[in-house]
Amino acid sequence: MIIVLAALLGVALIVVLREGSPRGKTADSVTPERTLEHARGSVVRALAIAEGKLLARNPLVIAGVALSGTALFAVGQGSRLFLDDMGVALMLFPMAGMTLIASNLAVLRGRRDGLEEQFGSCPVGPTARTIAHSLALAGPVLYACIVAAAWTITARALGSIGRPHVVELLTGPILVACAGLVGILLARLLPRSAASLFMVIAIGFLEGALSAERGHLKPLAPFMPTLYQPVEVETRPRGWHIVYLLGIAGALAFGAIARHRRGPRIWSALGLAATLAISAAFAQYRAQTPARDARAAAWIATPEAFQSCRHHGLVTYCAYDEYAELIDRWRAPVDGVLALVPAAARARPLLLRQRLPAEAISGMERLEIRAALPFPVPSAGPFAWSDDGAIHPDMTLCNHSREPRCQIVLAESAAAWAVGLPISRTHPADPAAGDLPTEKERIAALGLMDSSGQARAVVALWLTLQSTPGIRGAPPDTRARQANRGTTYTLTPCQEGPPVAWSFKDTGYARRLSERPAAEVSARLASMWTIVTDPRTTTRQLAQIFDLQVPTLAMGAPPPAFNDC
Amino acid sequence: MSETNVQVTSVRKRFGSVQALGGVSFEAETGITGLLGPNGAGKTTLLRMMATVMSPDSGSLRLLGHDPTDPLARTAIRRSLGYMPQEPGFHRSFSAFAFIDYVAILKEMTDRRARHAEVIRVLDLVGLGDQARKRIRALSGGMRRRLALAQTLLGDPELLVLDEPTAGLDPEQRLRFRELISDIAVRQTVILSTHQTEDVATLCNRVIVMDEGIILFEGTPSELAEIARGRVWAAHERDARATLSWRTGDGMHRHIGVAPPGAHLIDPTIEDAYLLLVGHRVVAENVA
Repeated sequence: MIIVLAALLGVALIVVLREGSPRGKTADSVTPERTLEHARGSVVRALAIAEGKLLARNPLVIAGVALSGTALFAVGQGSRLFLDDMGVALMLFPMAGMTLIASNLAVLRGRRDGLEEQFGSCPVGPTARTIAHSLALAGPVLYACIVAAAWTITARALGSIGRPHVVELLTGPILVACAGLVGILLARLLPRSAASLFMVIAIGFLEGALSAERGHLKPLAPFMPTLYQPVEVETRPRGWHIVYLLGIAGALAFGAIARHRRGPRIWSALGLAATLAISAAFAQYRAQTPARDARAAAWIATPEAFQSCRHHGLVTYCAYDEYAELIDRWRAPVDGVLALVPAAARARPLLLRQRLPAEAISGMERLEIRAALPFPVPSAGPFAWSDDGAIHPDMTLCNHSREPRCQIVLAESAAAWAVGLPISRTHPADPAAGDLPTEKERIAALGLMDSSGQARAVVALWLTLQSTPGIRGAPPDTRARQANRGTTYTLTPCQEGPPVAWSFKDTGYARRLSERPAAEVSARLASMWTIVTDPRTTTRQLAQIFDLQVPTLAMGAPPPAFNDC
Repeated sequence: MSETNVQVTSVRKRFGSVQALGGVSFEAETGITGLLGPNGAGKTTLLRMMATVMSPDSGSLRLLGHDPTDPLARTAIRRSLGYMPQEPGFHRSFSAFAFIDYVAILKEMTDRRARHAEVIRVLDLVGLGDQARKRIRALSGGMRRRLALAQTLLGDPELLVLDEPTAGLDPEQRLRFRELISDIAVRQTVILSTHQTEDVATLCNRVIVMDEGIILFEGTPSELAEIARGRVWAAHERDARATLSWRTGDGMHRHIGVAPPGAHLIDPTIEDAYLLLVGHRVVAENVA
């Protein structure tokens, strides 16, 4: 449909081009009609090429490409390409702004240089010049396409997942075209160079106002400055959005042409484009229906209905279809833990089911989706999923800078599962927990289990340290951070980790243990697995079994900048 | 054979309370027609109308057989028109070649190779062939003037409208200009306005003297000069009754107007005639 609509706009442009051609209405016309028609088309093409070269070399446009390219590649790592493709348009905004100013200055070049009268005596009039300036935007649009494509390729190489939607990717280049057309129309209506700068600022404000809207008008913002929460379930209808932008582009182009050439065909083309934009805006507005909200709520509440699962031994990994690539990244830390656990201990099924993090639900922007959820979500304050006995990876991509953290969380969870510690939170953290006077009270208020003094906590921490290749391969300070959390208690900082408060002393013992050969420790743990994972077995007893010295303060000293989450 | 390419009939134009043209009529054929007149005479207004960038309040024009008020006919006129305004503009960041090339596109020259050949031709014609790659901002005032002339010559237009084309040119450049324009005028119609009576005398086959929006004289340069025959005198002393008088290089006084005592008649020039026609204005301007 989009192709059909784009073709309609193209046909309208051709009709407008042909309208300027004489049709032998005057008897004294010296040039044959067909020759003139040919001349007009080829003149516009020649002029568009000349203007296109100038625009493509314009320092403002080049600066816009540099700014947008830098912004895109800065955020390109670890992208969910099927979602972050929406952000491409935002990142191309600097380029769009520069293109607006550059195209405006290009149209006003003749006026600025005192050439209006000379150009006015030439057979090529302002209509053809306006069309040529519009077509010259092909250069910046091509740049935008290259930047978007380069972002996709680079992000993919850097460990991103999924495929961007072509229609969504095209939003950025179309916005660049729209911006250029705004510059042209502005030059035709208000021929002052400074006006373009004010227009960029005004568009920025308009974009901000529309995107800050929490209601139905939000999709009308040309691009998304902030992603929806949660973005997975509340995207705009991208097909209608691009039709909306194409309609706006057409209206701007025909509006600029209408400044100098009015006629039924121009008005028809302008009307068609405006109708297209308004219809698509309305369609976007109407797309936000209760049925859509219900589907989004179901996506959140019943992930099993939307996920694909893979089985590896007794471990089942389930991820939303778009995130299926993550399963391979989850396997390494989980397999690492299970490899160190005796066969009897791992001979029970383990389920890893991807789930939207609790904080994404409590911070959800669209209240209609929250209301459609089949379980109560507090209108204020945090939310917690109920414990279903499964490990719940979230949407984190587990790559590059996030890889150690992601692996720690999964290994921690798998290790907690292996030794019988809880793996899911059962109630949300009290936001006022930090104000409580004692650490014991704070731990309880945060919904964590106090594992202090239990041998199985040391075993879990040792399993975590041994089974995370990302940690072993990471710089020493990262490893130290993991092993030395907290002062007395190392409070698990991440919502998606196991709800266990690791004590300073236990983490110190785990580090002492990790100094021993892994095979030796693993064999001894396996031989007395039932004992060391018994909640009644103490850390002191484990230390005696392994002849561990009491850890020094330095081993448990917290790193000052520890804030993985 | 000469043909009437420009017909101006009872053309009037006002700018607010100022009457720029007060019913001007004339015709121009193949060859050079010079418009002479002091500042504010209406020359530029008339030329802008002939360049199709301004329309009259009343009266009519017919250019190259077309009525410029008709949009299609206007385009046809512009296809055969070269116009150099009084203060031509330039894209200063462009090279001379790029600028003329751009104007050539606006003149519907779409074939790239042919267009480039034409650009080189006109740049050579005005003596800027070796400056083609230079930025316009680096060219001297005289070179820019020639560049402006070059863009009017693109496509060998049938009608050339030149507003003070020789202003700012040095004597050598002015001679080259005369050479160029006189060649062109063999087959084309050239309308040029100037303050230089010398240009008119040496170039034009017809001359129109304008003042305050009306035509004071229309004819050949020699006919213009004849107006002053019997009214130009040489004397040893200055006479206060003369319309204009000035001391010449040989120590004599040249008088235009009534005969001073002891004076003898001399052959008039077109400058004498021009001064005779618009002398009161020139005197007033000098006094002012």
